Amino acid sequence: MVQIYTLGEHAVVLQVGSSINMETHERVMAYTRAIQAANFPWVIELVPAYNSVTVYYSIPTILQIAKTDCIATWVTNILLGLSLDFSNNKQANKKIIEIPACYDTALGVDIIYLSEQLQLGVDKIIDIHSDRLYTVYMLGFLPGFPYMGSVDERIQHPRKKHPSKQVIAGSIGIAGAQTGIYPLQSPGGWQIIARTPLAIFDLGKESPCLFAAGDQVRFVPISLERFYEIEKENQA
Amino acid sequence: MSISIIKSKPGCTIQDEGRFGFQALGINPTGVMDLHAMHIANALLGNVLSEAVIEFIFPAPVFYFHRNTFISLSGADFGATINDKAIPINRPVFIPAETTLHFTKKIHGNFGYLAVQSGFSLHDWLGSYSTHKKVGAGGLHGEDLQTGDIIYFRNEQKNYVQEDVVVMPWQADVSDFYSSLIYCTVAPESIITNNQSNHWWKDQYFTILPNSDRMGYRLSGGNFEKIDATEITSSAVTRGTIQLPPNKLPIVLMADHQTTGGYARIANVCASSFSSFAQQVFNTPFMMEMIAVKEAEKKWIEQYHHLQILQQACTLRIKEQFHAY
Repeated sequence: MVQIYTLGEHAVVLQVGSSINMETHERVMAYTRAIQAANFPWVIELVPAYNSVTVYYSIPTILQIAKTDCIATWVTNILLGLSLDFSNNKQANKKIIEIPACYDTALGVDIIYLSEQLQLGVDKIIDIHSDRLYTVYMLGFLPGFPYMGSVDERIQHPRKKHPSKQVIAGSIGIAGAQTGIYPLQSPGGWQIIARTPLAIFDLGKESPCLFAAGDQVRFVPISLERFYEIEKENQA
Repeated sequence: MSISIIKSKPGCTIQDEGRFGFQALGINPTGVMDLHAMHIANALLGNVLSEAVIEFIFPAPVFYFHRNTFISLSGADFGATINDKAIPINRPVFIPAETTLHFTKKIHGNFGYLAVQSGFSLHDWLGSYSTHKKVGAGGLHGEDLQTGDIIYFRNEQKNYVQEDVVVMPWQADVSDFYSSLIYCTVAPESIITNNQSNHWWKDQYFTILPNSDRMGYRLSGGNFEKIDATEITSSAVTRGTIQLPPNKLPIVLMADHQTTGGYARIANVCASSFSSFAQQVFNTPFMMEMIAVKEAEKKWIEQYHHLQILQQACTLRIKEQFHAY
């Protein structure tokens, strides 16, 4: 039940499901791996998302190797012919990243509001949010911004109606069933419950983004003191 | 060998074709708004087509050339002058040392390009020189060029000693690269039926609203009432993607677009029309037309071949020209 759509004349979108869930995500990752493993010279890049993988391709490269009336159809046929391998989806093969998170109200600026809205104590929100392993479904919005799920129903809350003008880098937020981390200072609408002292995006690094789609993330609560210590260590 | 900005203006950056291979990480490609103009400017000088260029809007900065320099301008025509002498676009020009380049009036287009022979000497970020202002990387220092900035050239310029400006005898015919009709193809959320009432583009005049920028152009006009604008599960978007938010005010994603989005993707401006669209003067009517992807590919390939022919012809002219000196 894969559907393929064109996105301009240099990309096709493989839609592998209709909603956000683990099964769809595993299909997305299986397609991503299969296309990467095939090592097609004409693939420029892949963009995995919640329920789709977008494949950007080079028309000049395809012209060199194929004689076809319609390049998009040629690409579609090849992608549909790929065999998928789900074995890599096993829990043991996934990278787990621990993220120190300070839920102090000074940094988690919306946690008191959320506590009132959800009628849950701040400590309970912290326990629930840091109790599970999240999956990075995709990156987008900002360089390195991870869309992670799924958040426990008890602490789900919609985005702000009026986004904040400046959300500080490292801020950890909730939007519905998703949780995410702002890699850069930016306007944003997610409910901010904590902040990490780690650099989620680091220009100076060869791989500037901490996360990739498919990674697993656990939040480890830390004190405000510890937050500033780690921040200081990172600056040194 | 260098060029200086002696009076900066907002919106002037160094760009190339863009930064590809990192969209899965949310790193958007950026790059020039008008790829054709960048390629033409480089072809005229015998450069590699993908060489980084300076992109500017009007009012444009004032540039200063320290030494004899071989340049070309393309894209928008902002009435360039050197020592009060008008400089044409789409032709290579020899600029003598210690002169300033001014842009005097907006004649047509939105984005102008300046290329120098051999290209600029810059540090790349993730394989591209494009300025990424959001993260402050690429280009000269990750932001708009500022007064006092000096950009060095990759190599010595061709030894061509003249006291005055010389417009070279060859030029690019750009008519095949631009058109007033903007072609589009379907996108994942396109609702295409035989019902003409769903043809949002048919017999409609569009304009680009002034609150448009390198991230997105806001479209006015078009018959969108019957088009489904339900938000989608976030998925990839690209250059030219036409998004229809629930308020039915369409946005066309431009060079600084994000990598993913949650609005319905109702069409995609063809890559072969993207330069024309980027240069479309705001508040001026134009028309759009949907074509099959196969046709869109054909148009793009034609332009691609045309560009290669232009590059070969210019390289030959440059060899002849400099052989004589």
